Amino acid sequence: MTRIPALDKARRFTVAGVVAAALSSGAITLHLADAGSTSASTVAVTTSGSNSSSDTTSSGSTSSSDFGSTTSVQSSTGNAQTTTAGS
Amino acid sequence: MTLSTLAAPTTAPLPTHPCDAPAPAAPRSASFAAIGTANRVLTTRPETLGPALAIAREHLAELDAAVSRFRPDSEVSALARRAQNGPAWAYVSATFAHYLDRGLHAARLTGGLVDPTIGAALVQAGYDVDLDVVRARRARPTRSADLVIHAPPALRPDLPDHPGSIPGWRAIEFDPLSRRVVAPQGTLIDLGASAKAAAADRIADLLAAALPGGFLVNLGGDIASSGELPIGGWDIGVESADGRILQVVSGTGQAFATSSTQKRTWAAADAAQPDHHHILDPRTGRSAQTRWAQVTCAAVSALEANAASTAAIILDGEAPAWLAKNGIPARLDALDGAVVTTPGWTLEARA
Repeated sequence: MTRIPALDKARRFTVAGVVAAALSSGAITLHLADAGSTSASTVAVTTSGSNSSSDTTSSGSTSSSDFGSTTSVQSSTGNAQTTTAGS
Repeated sequence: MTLSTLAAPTTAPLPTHPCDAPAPAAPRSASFAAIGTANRVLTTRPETLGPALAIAREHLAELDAAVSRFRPDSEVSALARRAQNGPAWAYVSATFAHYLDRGLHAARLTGGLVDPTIGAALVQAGYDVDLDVVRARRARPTRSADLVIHAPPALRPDLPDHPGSIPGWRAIEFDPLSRRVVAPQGTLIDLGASAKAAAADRIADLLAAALPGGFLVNLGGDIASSGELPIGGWDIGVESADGRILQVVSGTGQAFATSSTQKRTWAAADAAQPDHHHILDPRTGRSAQTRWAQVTCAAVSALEANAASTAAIILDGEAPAWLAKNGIPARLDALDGAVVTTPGWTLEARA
């Protein structure tokens, strides 16, 4: 039986938790520093490297874990303006 | 479909209308190629088409530079190189962070059936460069890559469980505040399943914020809209792998996505094995064994529609019940030609 997706409470955290984790790891300092960088590549090159277990910070995101509800879909009698070709 | 339908009670957020009256002119559209696929932008006001195209192109260029696994200079490729010999971390760009966040969101929504850590498994399957190149080097003169009908599940060989090449989305550590990403050894992040859809959402939002009117953004079949609606809504065709329009539906603010096992296919290295398709089952590391040729879903965002349609392919026979449970209107086209719909998806056109 395939597992039905459920709310992943273990990975959710509050904004306060993010800030606390960032402060405890020193990441908040680097974040402020890279705010002044002028390109993405600069950030990636100058602040990355090998990892050790002590380097890890909080993970996950604050997004909801549930699909949003949407309105129903009706057939149209018109011609297609565009197509949802499979990918 | 008439606009009066929009007044019907619903739990979903209705489309934003900058003005009360619908646009009088027929939508204008333009197509362009980017991120390895065909894209189209439609606007309700002719004068906004040019600026809308420019915004879409610019954003897709940023996306490609950040997360393409086919570009050696992308951030995704750089992180993968560092992770070859051990766990690696990086502070990533805002673009990378946004799309990784969306990829992890898709993973959460689907219980990991859509997993951004399948990149190495895709490479092992032969999908390590742009698909046209993959097809060219493994071309078999007796079959058409776009029209391959895959063998039914019962004829597939048994597959191993939990392949070692897929670390699993929970192994990615991501701090959205600092934009710090930590990847286990051997990880190649592949956001192909989610980034195209998330980009449709993002561009639709950007267009609505920058320009007047209404917009539909179609990135290789992942469709998002914003702003005012054309009269009757956006008419969107559900297209089969061979280019037939199976049905036209009216979009009134929903997003759409189709996942197919018939289009992005390539020959296996072992000629005795069935062709690969690009939807990998993270539980096996192989192309998903499924009865569906394609699944089209509607959702509040293209990201969610894409996540649902991709998961449905992998879920095989369990897909209709799973989609219904999650409130996803969907049309599922089986390899044998049967069509299944879930609540909220209507096949018959209104009189």
